[in-house]
Amino acid sequence: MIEIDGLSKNFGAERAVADVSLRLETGTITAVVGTSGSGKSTLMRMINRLIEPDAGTVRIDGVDTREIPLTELRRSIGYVIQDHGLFPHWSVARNIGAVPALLGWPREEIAARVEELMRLLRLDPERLGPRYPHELSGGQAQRVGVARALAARPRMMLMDEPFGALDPVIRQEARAELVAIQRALGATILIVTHDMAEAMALGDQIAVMDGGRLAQAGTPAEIVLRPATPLVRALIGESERGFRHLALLPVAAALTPGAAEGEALPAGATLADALSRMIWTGARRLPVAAADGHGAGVVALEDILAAGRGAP
Amino acid sequence: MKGTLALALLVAAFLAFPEAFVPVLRPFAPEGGPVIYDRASLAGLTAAHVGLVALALLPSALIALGLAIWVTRPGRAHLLPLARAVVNFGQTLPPVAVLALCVPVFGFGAVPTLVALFLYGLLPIFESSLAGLSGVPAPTLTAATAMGLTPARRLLQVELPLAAPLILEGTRLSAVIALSTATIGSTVAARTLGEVIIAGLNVMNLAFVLQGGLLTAALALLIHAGFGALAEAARPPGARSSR
Amino acid sequence: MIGSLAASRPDGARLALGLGCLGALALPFVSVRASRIGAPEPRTLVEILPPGRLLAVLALSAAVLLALVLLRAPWARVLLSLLALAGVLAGIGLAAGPLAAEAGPYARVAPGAGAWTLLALLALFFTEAASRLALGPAARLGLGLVILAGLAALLASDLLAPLSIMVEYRNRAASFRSEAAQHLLLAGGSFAAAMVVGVPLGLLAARRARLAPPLLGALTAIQTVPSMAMFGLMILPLGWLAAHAPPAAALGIRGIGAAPALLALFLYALLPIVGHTREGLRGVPGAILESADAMGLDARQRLWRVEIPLALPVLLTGARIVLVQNIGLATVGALIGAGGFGVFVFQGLGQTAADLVLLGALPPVALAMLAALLMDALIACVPGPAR
Repeated sequence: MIEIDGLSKNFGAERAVADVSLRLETGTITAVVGTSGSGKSTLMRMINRLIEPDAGTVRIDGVDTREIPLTELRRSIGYVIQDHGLFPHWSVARNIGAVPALLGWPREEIAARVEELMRLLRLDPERLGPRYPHELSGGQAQRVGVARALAARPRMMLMDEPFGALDPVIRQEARAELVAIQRALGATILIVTHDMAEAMALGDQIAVMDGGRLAQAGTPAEIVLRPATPLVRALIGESERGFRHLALLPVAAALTPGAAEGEALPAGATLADALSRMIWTGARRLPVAAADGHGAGVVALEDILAAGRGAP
Repeated sequence: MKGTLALALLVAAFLAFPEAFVPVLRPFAPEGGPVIYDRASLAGLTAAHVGLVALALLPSALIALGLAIWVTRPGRAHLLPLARAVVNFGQTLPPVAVLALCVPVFGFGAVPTLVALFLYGLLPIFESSLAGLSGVPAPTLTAATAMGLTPARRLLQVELPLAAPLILEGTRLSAVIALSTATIGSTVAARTLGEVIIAGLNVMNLAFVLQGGLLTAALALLIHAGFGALAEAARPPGARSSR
Repeated sequence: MIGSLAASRPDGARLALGLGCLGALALPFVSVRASRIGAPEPRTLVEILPPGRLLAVLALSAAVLLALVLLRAPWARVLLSLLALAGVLAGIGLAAGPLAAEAGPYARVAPGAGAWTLLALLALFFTEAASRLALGPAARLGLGLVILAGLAALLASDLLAPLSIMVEYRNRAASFRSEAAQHLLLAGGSFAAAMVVGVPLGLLAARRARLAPPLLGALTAIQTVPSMAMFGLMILPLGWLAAHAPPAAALGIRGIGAAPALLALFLYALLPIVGHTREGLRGVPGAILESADAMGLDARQRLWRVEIPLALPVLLTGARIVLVQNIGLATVGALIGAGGFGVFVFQGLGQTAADLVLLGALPPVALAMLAALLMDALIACVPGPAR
């Protein structure tokens, strides 16, 4: 668990981060959202002390980060940034193995770990390992950046706009991949983004920063249903709010017993998927399949709309 | 800016009243020897020195810029590697060697110095003009053509103004190098401030070496500052430095 | 065969070079002097060669020039232009022998304006063709060494022996070797010292933003002091040191000689090294530095494993400038008794012996070009993205 407590930072007269407190539960993804200049990157950089806070503390599993030697702290936290920051004069394999090498792992162990990570991130170790970063595509370079951050089995990962340089299709894939890896490894991740949709898609918890202050922190549903400030409301997008919420809810949330005509929705679908299907087919009731393939029940338009409003 | 003005005033004062500086230079002159160079007027030598450099650099700049414009016209891209190779080769030639190599061809006096300065001046100006002209962003050129500018207007109204700071930078470098190299011309009897330095080295009168050397350095600094101000003025408003 | 190699339409630049070469054939090919400082009497090919041979030479020249203009394959033009250069050099030697013999024991023969022009234009032919090949630095170095070897073989043969510059060389073979060694010592020693001092200074200038402007300003001001004066002024501190510090004098430090020349060259060398080191370090992208910090590299590891390797190409570019510059400037050291090739240049100027000037001026040019080729190859060896 990471506890951020009363963290503040000024650059000269400019207030970058003011008295922010936040808890990151172990094994969850927290997405910090805000406009540029909101202090979200500064907040993140204070966790691995790339920036020293003026006031406040950060505790990792109860230990104040100021009590951990700086290099040790940083080597235990994975770090991914938008421009991936790969060392251009090192091969891909050497980039990925950099932190284990700093930690003095044996050579064979580093090689094995690099290969394991490259396979995990769908990078061909034989072909891409000896290449240099400038020979990679944007998506490959980004995955190498993630692999490098994961190399020494860090307790947590900090990611600053990690998908910012990718095109929309690859970005979708990269997000899904990140969630899969996070679930598999049980890592604690803090991700900084300006894109609320990305935060909604990734975050177990969303923290909205505004002018250096924490405007609101909560689950995606809480943020959508009860935006605390006009800025949070604006970031969600007034016209998309309903859909945003429905996209967070599984069909199970509005399931009633019964049967209906037409192709069944899969059990993993969201209410947004159901509504979209209704718009195109004109149906007001859709059958839902259970995980075993049998009919689980139906969703009705009025129930979807009620669930979208957050009504019980 | 203030420093440049002070330096200019100091140079002017020294050239007008060299005798006033005798106390400063006395410790560097041999016992009882002359302190201020007396075989020619320092002001006259300075004028000759600057005149020689200007006379060499003016054609240098015109020809180098003309060549750079010529090779950067559309359809001559195949000439660029040759141009770059010649520039690269030229920059490995030591100025002293260029001057020395001109002597067998042009004899003694001002002519070999003039030719050497002219030749050596071509390179920095050509190189930086080339960089400036080929550095104009392609979208800007496309936009200019799309707006219907003729090639000549495009050159005069778009390319040259955008390349001007770099062209001036190259000319400044050439001028500073030429000013310094011109002193060596005095070893082949050109009339420059080098005469003062050589006289000082011959009789071990460091006061001469100092006044010849520092005068040349001061002139170089003044020219450096002057071109700097010109380049700043020529910079497109969007790219002007904040100071 | 020829048809496929030749271009359908001659290239304008090469056509101009070819016409220039034809014109140069009409200029005086060599010049004869009654003594080493006598007035040159120009001789054209027409005056030197009997009609039969003249026709053969002109026909051969025309054929070679036509091929240089029309051949399409750059490698063929590279080869042919090198052969032509060697041919002109050999021709100068062949022409010089009989002319020197007939003009008397003190007579000197040197290349004339025509020969120089031919050499220069053929060198341009070569450069144009070589630049088309777009050779990598290693290949360029290889080609350079091959040319150097060819030149050395030509010099070692007796072909060029009758030329005045070779006579000057034979009269001073021993001192030529020692001055060459001295020249290398001056240029190399000051280069090494400037690297040792300049790189840390550049590092400091990159780290402390406030230190950079005054430091670079001072180093720029040093560059504006003309070399002759700089060499002269160095006499002052070192003369004082020699007079007041006996250990310094015992080490051979004197006001005149190699020590002030080394010091002057060292001072000139600082600006490019400090400036390029600083530029190279400042050019390392912020994202990479941030990554290095975030990965837990300490300051020393970051410097040696990330910053210096990434700054190396720019730093080496500065080193290349200094090496080339110092090889040239070391020539001036002769004015204060530091030795080096400048000895022959200034002796030659003093005696109005043009060929002695050449003997002193040509080797630094060749050395500087070799140094540039070597440094380019070295810079290309640095790993990382293609630059």
